[in-house]
Amino acid sequence: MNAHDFLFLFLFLFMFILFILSYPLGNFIFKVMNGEKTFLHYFLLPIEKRIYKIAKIDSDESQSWQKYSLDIIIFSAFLFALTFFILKFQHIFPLNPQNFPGLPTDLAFNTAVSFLTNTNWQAYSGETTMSYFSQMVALSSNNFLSAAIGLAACIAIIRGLVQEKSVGLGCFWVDLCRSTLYILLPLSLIFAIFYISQGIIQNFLAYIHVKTLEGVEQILPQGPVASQVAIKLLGVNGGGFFNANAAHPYENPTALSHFFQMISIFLIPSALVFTFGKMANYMKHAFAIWISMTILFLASAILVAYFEYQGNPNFIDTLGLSSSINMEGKEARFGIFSSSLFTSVTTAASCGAVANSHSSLTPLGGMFALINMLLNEVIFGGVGSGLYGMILFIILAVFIAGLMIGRTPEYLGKKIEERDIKIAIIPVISVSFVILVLLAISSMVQSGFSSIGNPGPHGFTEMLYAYTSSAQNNGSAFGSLNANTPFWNYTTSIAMLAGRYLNLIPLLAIAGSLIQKKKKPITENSFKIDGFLFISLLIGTILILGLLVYLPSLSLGPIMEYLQMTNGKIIEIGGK
Amino acid sequence: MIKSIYRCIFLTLILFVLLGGIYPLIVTSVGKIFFPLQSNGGVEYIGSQAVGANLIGQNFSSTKYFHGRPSFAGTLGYDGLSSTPSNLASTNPKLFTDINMHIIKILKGNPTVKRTDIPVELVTYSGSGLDPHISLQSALIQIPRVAKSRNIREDKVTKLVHSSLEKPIFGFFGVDIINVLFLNLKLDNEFNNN
Amino acid sequence: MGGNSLIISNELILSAIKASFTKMNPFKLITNPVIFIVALGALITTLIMITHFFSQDNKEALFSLQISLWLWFTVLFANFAEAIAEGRGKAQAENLRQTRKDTQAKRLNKQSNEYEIVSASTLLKGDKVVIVAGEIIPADGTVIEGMASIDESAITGESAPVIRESGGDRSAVTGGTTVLSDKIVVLVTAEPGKSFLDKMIALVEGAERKKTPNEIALNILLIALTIVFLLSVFTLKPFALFQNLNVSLVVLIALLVCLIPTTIGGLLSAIGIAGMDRVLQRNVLAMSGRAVEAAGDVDVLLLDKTGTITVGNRMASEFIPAEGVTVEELARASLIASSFDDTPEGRSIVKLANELHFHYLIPKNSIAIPFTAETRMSGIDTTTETFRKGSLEAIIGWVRSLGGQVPKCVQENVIKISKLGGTPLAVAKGAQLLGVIYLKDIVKPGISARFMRIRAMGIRTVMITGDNKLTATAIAAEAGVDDFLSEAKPEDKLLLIKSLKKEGRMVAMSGDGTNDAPALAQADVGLSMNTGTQAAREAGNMIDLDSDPTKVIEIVEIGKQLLITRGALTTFSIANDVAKYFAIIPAIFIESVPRFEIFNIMHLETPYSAILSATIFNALIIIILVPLALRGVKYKPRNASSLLRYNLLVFGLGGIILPFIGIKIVDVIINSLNII
Repeated sequence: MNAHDFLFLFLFLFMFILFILSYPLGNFIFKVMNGEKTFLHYFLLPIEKRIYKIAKIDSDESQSWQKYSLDIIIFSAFLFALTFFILKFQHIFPLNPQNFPGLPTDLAFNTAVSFLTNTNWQAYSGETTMSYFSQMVALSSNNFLSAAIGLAACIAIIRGLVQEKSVGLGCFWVDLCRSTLYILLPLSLIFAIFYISQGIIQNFLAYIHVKTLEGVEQILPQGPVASQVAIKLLGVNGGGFFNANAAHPYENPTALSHFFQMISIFLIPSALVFTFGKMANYMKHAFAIWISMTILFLASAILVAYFEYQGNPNFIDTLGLSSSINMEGKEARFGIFSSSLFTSVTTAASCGAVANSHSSLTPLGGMFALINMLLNEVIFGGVGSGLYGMILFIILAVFIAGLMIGRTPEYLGKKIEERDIKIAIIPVISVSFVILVLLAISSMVQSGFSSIGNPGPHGFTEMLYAYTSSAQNNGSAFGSLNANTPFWNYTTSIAMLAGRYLNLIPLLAIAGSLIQKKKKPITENSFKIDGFLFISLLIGTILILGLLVYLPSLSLGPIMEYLQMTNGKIIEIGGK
Repeated sequence: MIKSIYRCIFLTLILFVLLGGIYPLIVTSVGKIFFPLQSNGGVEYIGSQAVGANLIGQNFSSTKYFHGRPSFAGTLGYDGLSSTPSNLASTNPKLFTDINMHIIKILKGNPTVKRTDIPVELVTYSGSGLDPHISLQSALIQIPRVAKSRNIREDKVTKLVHSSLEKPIFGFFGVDIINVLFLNLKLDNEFNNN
Repeated sequence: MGGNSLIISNELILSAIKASFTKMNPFKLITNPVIFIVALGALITTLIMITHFFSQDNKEALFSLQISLWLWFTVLFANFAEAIAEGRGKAQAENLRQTRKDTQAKRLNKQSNEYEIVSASTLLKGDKVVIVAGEIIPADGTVIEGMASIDESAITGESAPVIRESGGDRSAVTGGTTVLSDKIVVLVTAEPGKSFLDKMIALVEGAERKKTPNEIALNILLIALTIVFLLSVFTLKPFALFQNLNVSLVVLIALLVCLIPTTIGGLLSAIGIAGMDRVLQRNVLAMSGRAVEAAGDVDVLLLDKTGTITVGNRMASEFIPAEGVTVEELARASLIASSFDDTPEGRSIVKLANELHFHYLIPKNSIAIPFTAETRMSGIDTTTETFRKGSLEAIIGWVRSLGGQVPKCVQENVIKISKLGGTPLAVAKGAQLLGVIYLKDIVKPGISARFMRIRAMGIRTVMITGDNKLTATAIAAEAGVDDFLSEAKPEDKLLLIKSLKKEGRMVAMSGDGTNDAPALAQADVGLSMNTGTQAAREAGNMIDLDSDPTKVIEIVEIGKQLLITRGALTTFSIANDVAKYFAIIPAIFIESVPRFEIFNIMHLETPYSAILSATIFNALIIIILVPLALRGVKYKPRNASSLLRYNLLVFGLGGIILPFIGIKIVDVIINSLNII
């Protein structure tokens, strides 16, 4: 089997397994969120009921979009405060065998925002900063809950699209509990145990001191890693236990764990597409969305892999090696293809776990990772946020299509009117505003650009990547940027908050407006939202709206760097 | 509003206990029972001395050992507390001076080796700084040096190298790799010369 | 005013050019944010040019001069597009205004029944006026006394006089039209300044033109794109500085103007005005732009059978005698029974009998028995015999009451006729049922082809008729409508519209009678006939001056075309950006990073010429597309998917490719002219 065949076979297998697992999961999520009985209710229903009783939640309540959003904000604020408190004062909590001190305010602030917004941008290094208590209680719980917020909001938004002449989008607290109890928790258990079998550690031991074969002391950090890794991927969070994240052998020990980590990143976002199909009773539309995501993903996967295989011509030209593949920053056990695939997966989904150094990617390989994020994290995207981000693009695509066929646009039989478009552009404008303006500021002020770790256009890309990653709630980084400074901690926090809530709340508002509208029957007259034409229109809209705006920035960053890299000698070395 | 805050506080506390307490404890217990070795770090012992973990690479600089990949973790490399890639950009001159430095080190230590024989991964920093593996080719080019240093026949070492080769899982997932620590432990075990 | 052609006169162009300059008023410009940004850019580049002149930087000065010129042109071209669309309406309004010269009115005194002469402009709603032959009707109103023939050519362009009479469905008169004969009393129904004519003038002038919801939504999207590109372009400056590259403000402004959707921004209001205008060309008056757009959205078309699908009246086409009766006997009886019947049906029976060479003289002292709703038959009583014709049930009742028999074959024939879509009329002589006359409904020629077109657009047609189901089925099949409502009473129409709207469908209908008014008001698109009652005219949101009910079909097409033109040019405008990037981005960086040349895929000569070419192309494309905006894109009825595919290919893909060619051509020209 040559490299090409392998690549395509691998990608096919990957998508196939993803489909096989996520389709039934989509049905399952549909049932759970609809309050229908599943096999898990046997164990979990009493717990669910108990929780509602204690927290005085009425499981039949149905909230308006304003109430739903308000509850999300209240919950987020509380979650943030609690996390900030634990991090800031982790020294007073137990399970701190290394006696780490509390985090500085800016870092605690940034980390709390980061985990709350499902970004998991990490300005710290886990093994030298965080106590087990912080990791397990504060961060791990946030991994669950931020994903659950996304999932709950997504389901509420879908309700707005598919139900008619009603007001309530559902009850946030119920949606939150159900997503956590029936979906995230059981899946995490399964994956965590699988990961332990592959070698991911799970203990509360103090760090182990070993004497290496050459007699040097090596300290091996320990901790409850598997339980956190499982949810960091399933919840598309990405915050690693260790600094090296999924490249660390304790976080991602084998090629098999690597493969299933990638699957588990896409698992819930992919399943939600089918849940949507079920809820809308329009599976063909769900498939069209899924296929659009798949096409965009495969394109990015192939491109990133291609440029990493092509690698760095200077390896041959300057250094006299026989190959130019870019193994810098990649782990030997994954190999070049799986490593670059992980890059595509983690940036297409808003995960941000990294199994190789993104900063050391080739300029164009890195650019396509960046583009995955710039496209608004809709290629499967985050838990819930990927699908509702996609719904935003669909609304815009349908609006343009409606204009082109001479119809007032409608989506799932609901008219898209002035107010909806007004709201729909809020995320479009605010996200690019945050990215571009913060980037402009940091390229002008010393405290911004002094954090850069690489010279030339790459340094610019580091900053672009940082704001893109945080505004799109991805969380991966060009690690060469020193983001643990007050300037970067606070600016990326702004980006993360804006990226999260200025997407989520406008979409809830649209859902709140659509749910009151009556549904038109689908006629010959209406624009079909399945099939090839819709898929190409959707992809076109995503690419045009997502990319056109960033082309100038991309030319100054990765494209300029690419021209530099292929320009011949960067440095004179007596090779050959 | 008051009701929401009440719900919020109680729900968060319950869920924190469940997700941050009960869940990891369940995972830990299951791990302890079914996969005790893995869940506790996969530590390798010689006698009662812990000499390393099967998944964590170590620094090898002695001529009698196979060497792993360059590591950016800590000043000496392979520092368990400083897992990190180099994050050097493809256009950073330091990337090339560093790679060149690693090449020259290999060329010096292995006179039979030419630049074009050296696989890229043996001279580039890994993603974690703790990468325990190298490719077969990377091991093969080190055989003459190791054999010479240990004063044994090359084919014996070659055999050992091949027996240490880990094939892709199910023949599909991953690539051919060799765990450097395992290989070196085997070397010490079989050709016990200090 | 009907029949205006699409030809744009020189005079119109001249006045539009003048208007393009007067529209430079910043307070006017700001209503179109995209173009306002361009004007702002033009202003800044002009200032920069001046500073360059003073600093003797000739090369830069020349470049910024040219850029600022073309930016000003961009604004002017956009103004011109709007002006020319408005200009055509203005010319029409001018014609109308001449009709509205102040006339005198004879206002009836409420108590004394005498009249006083007042100025027409003082008439209030509720006043009564007397108009005699030769006078101009001073205000809109309803005829409450008398009947007159009226020349309505002032508003309809139709020179043949029309009859208006009190009561019934033809009672509405319009101010500005002339009474040709007789005398009528009219109840004024419009407030001064709000007459039909006033509304018309306001509409064609575009003074009352409010942006439609769809247009507003699109505008929001355009503004959003503009903001985003503003961010994108102006952050480029610090980004470039960070990399130690310098980008001049002139270049940034040029890039910005090329990227923001100036094409659609410049043409948007022209498209809207032109759409209203096209409706007007068809002699239809839309009360708002919204109504025209709603027409493009229609899912169901409700059409009255009579007058719309079939030519007004049924015609006798065959005599079908009962057993033992000859055709001659039946024809003779029919002829006699119809001899006093003045309805079109009655006349058609006489005509048919005459065609078959049957003649009969009516005996003296015969008594005509007129049709009543109770008896549902009519006929004649001669001194010796009685002749009756009418609905089968009525005649059967009549015959039985005289002790006669009903032959079996008559029943069968009746069913046969109904199945053919005809109406059977039974004829009896004394107690003998002689047979039936086959009254045929004549479907308008070419109507089924029109319905095909409508079906291709994905619109369902529903025929409404008072006929029984059997007859309705046959006519529906012949005309090719999708569905029908038979045995419909006027209120059924309203119920049908309500239930369709409840399903979320958009409904269009045309109507004229007073009893159509509620339905017209309910329908999303209600086309009232100018000949109709005042109530109907006020209920609908469009009025057809030609009173042709089938015109609703054309209106639907115009509405669609309007929406499509807007969408197509939006897509085109955004798609253009790709090529403009390829022109400008390499040009910006090529000096510092020569390898950016590989992105100069159009091989534009110099950085300056590349930027200028893109700017010129961006300005010229507005002017080039003006005719398209005025005319609307070509519209062929087809279903949503194939229409979208076609438009995506033409305007999406075309919008990507065309500017590559266009910019290259401009670049070649300006380089060969050596102007840069």
